[in-house]
Amino acid sequence: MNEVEKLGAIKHMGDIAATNIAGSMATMFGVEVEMAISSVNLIAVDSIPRLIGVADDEIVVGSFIYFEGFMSGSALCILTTQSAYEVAGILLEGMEEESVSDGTFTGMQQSALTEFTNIIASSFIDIWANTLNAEVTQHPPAFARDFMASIIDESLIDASKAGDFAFMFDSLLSVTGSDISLEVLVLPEMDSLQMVFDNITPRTIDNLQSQL
Amino acid sequence: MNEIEKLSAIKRMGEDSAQKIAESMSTMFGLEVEMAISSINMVATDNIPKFTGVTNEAIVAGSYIGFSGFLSGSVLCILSIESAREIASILLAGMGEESSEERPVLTEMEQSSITELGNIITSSFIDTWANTLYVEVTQHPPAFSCDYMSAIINASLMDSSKVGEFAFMFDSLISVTDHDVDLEVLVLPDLESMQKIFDRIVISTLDAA
Repeated sequence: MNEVEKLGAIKHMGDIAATNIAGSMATMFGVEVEMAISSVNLIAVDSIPRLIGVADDEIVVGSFIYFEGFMSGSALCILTTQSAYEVAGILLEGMEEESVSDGTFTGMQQSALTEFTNIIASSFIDIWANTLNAEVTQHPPAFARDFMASIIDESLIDASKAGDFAFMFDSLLSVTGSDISLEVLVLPEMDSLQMVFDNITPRTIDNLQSQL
Repeated sequence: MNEIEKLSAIKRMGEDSAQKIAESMSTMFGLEVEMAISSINMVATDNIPKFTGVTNEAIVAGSYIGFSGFLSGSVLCILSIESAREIASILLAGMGEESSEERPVLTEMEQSSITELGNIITSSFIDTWANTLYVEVTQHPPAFSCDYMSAIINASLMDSSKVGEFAFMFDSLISVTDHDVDLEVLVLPDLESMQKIFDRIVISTLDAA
């Protein structure tokens, strides 16, 4: 198999994972969630916020998770502060007594938001596990409210990679009929990405076709 | 060379060519030009407008230029109407100013200066590739378009009938920092050409790039 075919397979895995995330979110929310964009990008780590359209000085809300095993890397979920409040509100269904919107998030709001990142990471891990028989474990998620560049830096276990380029799965999910949108980023480490390339066979493609 | 090494070589080629575009523009027009982002993306062709942050209803100005030879595909330069007017007025240096009364969205002179810019951008890109990979690539005459971004992309991909599938896209955002002008440069080699690039990359490509 040549490189373009393998990349096509990797792209398909990302598409399936993003569709599954939208599906799981729809179940959680009880609303329609659309996968607006799914892409695979090669980009310098410090250009990621700009690519996503987040200004350098904008504070965003995010949660991230580190996973390791056959595949190692991090999964992030980035929202605007406004979207984060709305999402937390929907998930908690008024369980929170007081609603503040001064930029702070209660423990419950934070855990509701980090729960998302669990779903995101699991969706990607599942697809790799199913198609490549790979074993991957995920770590507990973390919550952050900061500049996007700082959140990304923090999520990358090897901080020295900040100047390097990253291979990034980027999906934009939006909740239909609202202005809530979530940016889902998955950044596998280069070494484990090479393992994926090495393990893709024509059978992987058949396997993917059956999941589409 | 493994896939990651090849991808990183291709990534560097993309960056070098975006850098070259910024340099050509600043030398030719005396502008402060910066390569704001350079990335390579795999995205479904009908998602490209959204991906670049252009809404479905927005009309943009752009030029597209096909290329063929060892590699084939197209180069698109996309600007907002405001950016297009601004850059055209810089390039025309005051020539061709028309009274605002019956002014079309972009005058003919403005349109031709945008296509000329497209030419310069395309050759910067193609030169870098040709020199790095030692291949011959011919660039076709430019076409101007003022339309929905999806329509411009469809028109530029017409020959390759790839619509609906994913595309490899070299996406660079070029900013003219001393004016309020942003320019999105999308280079879309067809998938067959993309594989040829992979096949062509050897260790020495890394040194050349």
